Amino acid sequence: MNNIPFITIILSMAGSIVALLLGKKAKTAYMLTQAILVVVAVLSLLLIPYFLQNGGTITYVLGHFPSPWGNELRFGLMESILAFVFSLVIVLALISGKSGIRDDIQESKQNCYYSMLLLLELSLLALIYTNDIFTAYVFIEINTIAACGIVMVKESGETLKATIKYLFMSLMASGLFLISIALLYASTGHLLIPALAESVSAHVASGEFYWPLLAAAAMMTVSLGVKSAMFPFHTWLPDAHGTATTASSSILSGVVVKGYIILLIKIFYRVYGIETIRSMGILNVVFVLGIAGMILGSVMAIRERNVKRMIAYSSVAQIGYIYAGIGIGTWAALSAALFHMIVHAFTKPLLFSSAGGLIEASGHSKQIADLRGAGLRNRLAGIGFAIGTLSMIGVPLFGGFTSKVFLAYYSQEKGFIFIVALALSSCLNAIYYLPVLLRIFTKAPDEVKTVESTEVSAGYAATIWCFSIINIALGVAGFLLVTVLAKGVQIL
Amino acid sequence: MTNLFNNYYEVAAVILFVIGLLILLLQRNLIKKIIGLNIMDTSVFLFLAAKGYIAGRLSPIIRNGQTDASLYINPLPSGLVLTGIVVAVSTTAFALALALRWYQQYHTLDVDGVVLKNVLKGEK
Repeated sequence: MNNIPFITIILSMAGSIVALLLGKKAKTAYMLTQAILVVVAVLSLLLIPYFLQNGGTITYVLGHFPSPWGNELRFGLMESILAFVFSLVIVLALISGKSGIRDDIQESKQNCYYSMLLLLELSLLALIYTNDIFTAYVFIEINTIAACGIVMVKESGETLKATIKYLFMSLMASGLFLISIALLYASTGHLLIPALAESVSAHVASGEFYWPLLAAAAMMTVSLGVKSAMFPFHTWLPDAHGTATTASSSILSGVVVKGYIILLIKIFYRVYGIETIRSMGILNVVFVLGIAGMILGSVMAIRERNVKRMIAYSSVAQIGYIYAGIGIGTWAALSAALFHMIVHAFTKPLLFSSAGGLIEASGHSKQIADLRGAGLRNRLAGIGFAIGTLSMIGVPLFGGFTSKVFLAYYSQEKGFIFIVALALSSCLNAIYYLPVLLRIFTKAPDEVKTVESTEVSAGYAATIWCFSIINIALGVAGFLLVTVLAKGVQIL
Repeated sequence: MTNLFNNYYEVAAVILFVIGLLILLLQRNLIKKIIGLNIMDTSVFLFLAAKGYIAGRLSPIIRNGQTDASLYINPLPSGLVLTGIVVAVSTTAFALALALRWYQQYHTLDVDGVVLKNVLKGEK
């Protein structure tokens, strides 16, 4: 039981190397990747009942050095749920994006793509489990390179431009993260989170090193904000998520940005402690930026004519919800934000995969204008898209509704601003999603080019159904997961 | 003020960091951006190395079998610098590979300026 996180990390690492060595055997690399991802998901799933029963957390010591110097993994209920969700989303996104991968990526390079995916999985798992802040930095960098890699792999002019934008913004953020680690280390002398937390709270109590600690917290927030597309730093996201191949878009917006948010939550709650972060004023900044993202992300999505970029801008708004939830600064609101994260992790890949199907059924045009009737040509993708959009808008019975209700319910003293912004943002969501939904189910007039009703592969159909069913399940029985998550965050 | 003079390594590191950050943000040439990135990373290494140094002590490599910790400087920041260098090398390599691709595609290293616009116009 103690070894499971370490095994999953090492397994992904080994898999990524093997996938690279497989050369032109793209099919074998695909099978290998899927097998490893499924094993990781199952192993993480095994942890959940254990923690549900026993509670608490397990600390796993890596290497031979004891606590304040060595490196550790620490995991509990929240970590195992997130590891399971992230692995499952990657598996499903990969199955549904398979035809896109075949079309967009040269066959000789597909094994590199799978290798990158396993690296992504590895770094996400490490970000979730790690108890050491410098290890987190190293895996942030691995994550950045792998994420840029899976955008770039499509090899067109626009992905090149998107990747360069993404890479340079991310690298700037990494530099900020590195110097804030140096500041933290200089003022506390520790890198391991529990030791760091102890020292930080002692410093805060004595008022010593206040400015370096504040600067470090602010720079970490900006740095992880850039990487997870917090509102004013989101400019790379629509390009990167809108141009990549379907599977990459799903994975990037479904799970990759979330890894950084988890790390930021850990820094807020475990390194500094929520009271300190609140008194430093950082929580309020995060809250305001979250609210701004909720509204302006949706406004920018309205102006978009390209369906994938529109969905990508909607991610900016959804990340805004998560940050606003974190910014409220209570345990209950944090569990609601995590629940929203999980709902979004299942909904956004559903939208991207079904949009991929609709685009394929409309002669590979991404323009919303060309999608007329696409939902009739590829009914399954149409249904998936409908469920995704309804969930994003927040129609009852779908996941997005439940998570919005919980966020609003737990918003407490910031409730008024939050609920107004939530209502406004939901209306804006409806403004840009509903016309697309109506368009894809409207029969095309004869003069518009029509494509024969497209066939869908069994895998694609299965994943669309899976995503849809999970979404509705989260909508109907979401309160169960929220109570579990609330238990999970208490021991954060 | 005297603190600034006493900790001149750290002050230099922060100044270098800001220089690197500004180059990364403001330059339009990809190679210059990458150079800015490297200045930024190196300044952090300087900061860490300066933090780990204790005047009058040896580098943390055991000599003549002496394991007394008070003889050596703090090894952990050196370890961090080493890891940081590896990370910086790999990100630089990746960024340079992308710059090469960019040059092959557009025949300029300019990412968002006038030069690129002219090239794109020429292509149309």
